[in-house]
Amino acid sequence: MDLDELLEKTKDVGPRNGFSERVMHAVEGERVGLLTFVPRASKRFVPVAAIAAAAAIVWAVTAVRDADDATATSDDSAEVEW
Amino acid sequence: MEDAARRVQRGDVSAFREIVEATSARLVRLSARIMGSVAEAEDVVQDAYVKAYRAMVAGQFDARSRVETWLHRIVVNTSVDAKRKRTRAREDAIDSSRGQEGTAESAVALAELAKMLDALPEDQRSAIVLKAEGMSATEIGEVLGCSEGAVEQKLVRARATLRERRN
Repeated sequence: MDLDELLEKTKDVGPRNGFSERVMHAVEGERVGLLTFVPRASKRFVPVAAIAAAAAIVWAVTAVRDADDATATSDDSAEVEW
Repeated sequence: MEDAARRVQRGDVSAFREIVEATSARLVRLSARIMGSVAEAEDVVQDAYVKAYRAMVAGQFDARSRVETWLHRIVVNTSVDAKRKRTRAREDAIDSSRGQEGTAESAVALAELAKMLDALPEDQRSAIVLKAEGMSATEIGEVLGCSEGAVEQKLVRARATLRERRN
């Protein structure tokens, strides 16, 4: 058989019944995958974020204490006598 | 179909079904002619649809080409890749147990056609099956990423090679 004959004989070839459903099932699975990807990815960063938050709190407390100490100690303090 | 593509990009998954129902017959036939069986073509086209959906949702389809042309491109590339992998895995012979689809005559013709087209380079093979889908040289050029003249040349060379092999 030559090319044109083979193309003619295969012109009615098409998907079998239920193909669209199979595709949509796969696409729905992909969609669920995409929706769960972000929360899954962000879970990996939770421990890092927790450590960073703890470090930020420690730094903030230390900074406030230093500021309080600096305010309480005046260079030119003078006692007032009544 | 362009409207359905826009709705998919906005998150309407049901619009993708419209695209599948409007294009699957042509795309499965196209892939079957490259792969040599409907069952394998269905697997390839399903993969291609999932890739297309992923790209649409990720905003990678910029609507510069028509949805159908773009899908043809994905299916041709996926079919050629699948065929290459199969050849590499030494499964070149067409699996007769999977040829239960359609009429026996069309299954045999598909296997014979794919075997005949295997003699051609991938780009010429793709050009032949796209031409058989009734696409113009310009449309085939869009799918294969080449000029109209280059498409005509591929088709002439492909037919000449097949004629030579037949004689």
